[in-house]
Amino acid sequence: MAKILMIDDDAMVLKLYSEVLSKEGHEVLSSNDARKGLAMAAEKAPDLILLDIMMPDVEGAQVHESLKLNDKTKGIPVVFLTALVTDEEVAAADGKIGGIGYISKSTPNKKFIEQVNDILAKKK
Amino acid sequence: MSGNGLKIEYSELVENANSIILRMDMKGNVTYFNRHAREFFGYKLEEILGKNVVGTIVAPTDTSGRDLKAMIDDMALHPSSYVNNENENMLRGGARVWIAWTNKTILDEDGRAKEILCIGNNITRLKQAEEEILKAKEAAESANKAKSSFLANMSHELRTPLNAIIGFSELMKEDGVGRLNEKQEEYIDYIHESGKHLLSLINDILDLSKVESGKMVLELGKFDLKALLEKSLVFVKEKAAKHGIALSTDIEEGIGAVKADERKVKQVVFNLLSNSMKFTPDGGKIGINARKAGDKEISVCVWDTGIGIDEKDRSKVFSEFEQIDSEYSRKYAGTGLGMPLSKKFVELHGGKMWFESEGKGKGARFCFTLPLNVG
Repeated sequence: MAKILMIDDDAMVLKLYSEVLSKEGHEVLSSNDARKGLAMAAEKAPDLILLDIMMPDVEGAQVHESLKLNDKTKGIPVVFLTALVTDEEVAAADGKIGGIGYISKSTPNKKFIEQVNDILAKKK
Repeated sequence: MSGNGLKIEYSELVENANSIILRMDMKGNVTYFNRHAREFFGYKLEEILGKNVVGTIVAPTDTSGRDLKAMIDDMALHPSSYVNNENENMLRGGARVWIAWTNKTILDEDGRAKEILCIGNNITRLKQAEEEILKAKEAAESANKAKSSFLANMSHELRTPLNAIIGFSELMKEDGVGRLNEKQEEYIDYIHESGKHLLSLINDILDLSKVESGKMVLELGKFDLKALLEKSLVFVKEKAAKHGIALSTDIEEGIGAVKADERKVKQVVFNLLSNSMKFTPDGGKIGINARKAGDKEISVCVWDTGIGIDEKDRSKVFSEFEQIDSEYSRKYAGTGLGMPLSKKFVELHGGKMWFESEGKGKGARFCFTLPLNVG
């Protein structure tokens, strides 16, 4: 089982996916603040970071960049969480996510877990 | 009749014609001004003869700032560019009018341009109407743009809380929070189903606004159409069995790979099938046919033995947010967006969508074509 850090400004999203992921046996850390999230990533060394693509004060892409600039966190795989649904919407909303995976927040819970587990399996 | 008599007759004709007729020399000084022109512009003959048109019937600049003095100067140099010319003119009191002019150069005996004969018709009202239409069109376009961007933003804002509603109710359904009693289970199902319905409505609205604003892009790829059609029946199989509805397919030999946007084609077929399911009473039949139509396209039809479409309702079928009448919309839940959206998806591919029904109670048949060489 993996240690997963979620960074999202929406407390509901954190609560929902904490439940869903911990039911699967994962250890879930969460932060609703990008800066605190970065500190947690460096300190707790999670196996995966789920990162909101659009937060009110900072864009997911910027947080991603900060993670990649820090030696302690640059090796941690990052997946974006988005409320957008289709590929074209995501591409239109943020051209900077190229190459980084994302999971739609509209994904049913079961599928969400499958996607997270898939990513974890691939990164191993 | 003598030549002189003819001349007099023609000058009377010109003088009394119901058009503005004037002549000016190459400097723009008026040499002739007929009765209609005098009445129209408000000048007596002696007040206008010998005066320059600029400052009398032509303002130095028009309302939009165009330099009309330069235009008159240019007219003397390049008369052929002004044979048919529309410009703003000025009445004696300063009021502006629009006139459509026909300008003809009159040559002297040596073949040099001597004067310009101008015949004009008042098109002020036409021009005003044109401007109003243009303004109305711009206003409509900007309102439409505002609508599309509002819908796109709104849809995103609406999804966020909906995802929580769907996600948490799903969590409860999955026994994630301890056992629920029967009533709780039933109600949670309603919350979950309603949330999903609302989400699909929001997605449809977003799709529709994208198609309308021209932002919908097809993601073209090769896929097996026959497999897609057969697979799509699986989605309605369970429901069909519950209602005793027989499903069938008739797909012509050789229909296989097509190049199109698979997700959208799937959505179209699914929309047609769920529509047929919705409007076909228990014990009916629903089928999918696919044929090659010539060597350039494939036609796909979803038919049913359902309630059919009344002659008077035909125009509503592909209209947004329309369900044929209120009696239906109560009985048959739906967003009213499925059909217009499907039609737009098909048209984006360069195909057509239509339906056939012999009337109320006689079933319906919805068809669309897909060109074989999209993109």
